[in-house]
Amino acid sequence: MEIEIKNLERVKVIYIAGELNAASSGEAESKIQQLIMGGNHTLIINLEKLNYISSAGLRIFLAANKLVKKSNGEIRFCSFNKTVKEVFEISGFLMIFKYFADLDSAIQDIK
Amino acid sequence: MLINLANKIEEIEIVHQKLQAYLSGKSIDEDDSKKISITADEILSNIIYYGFEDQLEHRISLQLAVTDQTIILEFIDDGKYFNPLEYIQQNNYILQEDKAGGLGLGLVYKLAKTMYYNRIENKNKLTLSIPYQLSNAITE
Repeated sequence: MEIEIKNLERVKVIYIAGELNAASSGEAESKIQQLIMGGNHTLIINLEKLNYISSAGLRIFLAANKLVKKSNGEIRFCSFNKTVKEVFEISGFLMIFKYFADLDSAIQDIK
Repeated sequence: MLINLANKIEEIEIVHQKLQAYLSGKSIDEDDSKKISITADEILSNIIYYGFEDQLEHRISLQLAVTDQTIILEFIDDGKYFNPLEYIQQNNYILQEDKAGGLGLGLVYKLAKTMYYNRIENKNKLTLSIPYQLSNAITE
């Protein structure tokens, strides 16, 4: 799993690549939490290069969502591959989070 | 294919690699292979985290069989009685923003076509089937 954070004007974009499972979700969770604790409450998570996600990976997004909501923030997702999108759909995550087909659309939604 | 593992969470990554190699060799569609890996990941991590009340090493087995339309996964462990179907029915799994418990079993329940549980000789035996397509299948 690789995680990279890019700064845009009013938002941080988190790119997560590889596999998000029980073994790797701890590192991702800690980086996302650090970002939120640093005052970043509007986040876009780009999962274009995420190949695999289990419930351990999903849980870190629920925890992050809880944190940003305390400051009226929001997490948006963009660019899923087929399997990751299906996991989000069947687990009910697409009813909780906003999802966009690409990064530009997610940024546009914030503006 | 039979995979035996110890009740250690790091063994799941080895199972994942073995499954992907085996399913790729059978020309199973990549997305379906991932769903099978997710299912194994969820069931095995549940057994490892919650199945044993002692600190001893236990063996867990995962038997895989490919039929015409589904992959059959059979998990056997000697942990405490746990019927995932009862758990899912009792908890009426619906995702809540502030409650992540049961997320993995809810996912398995939706990915699996069939799910059977038996308690035999003090062991949990869970059998699941997951539909698949071949990677070269032409969809209309």
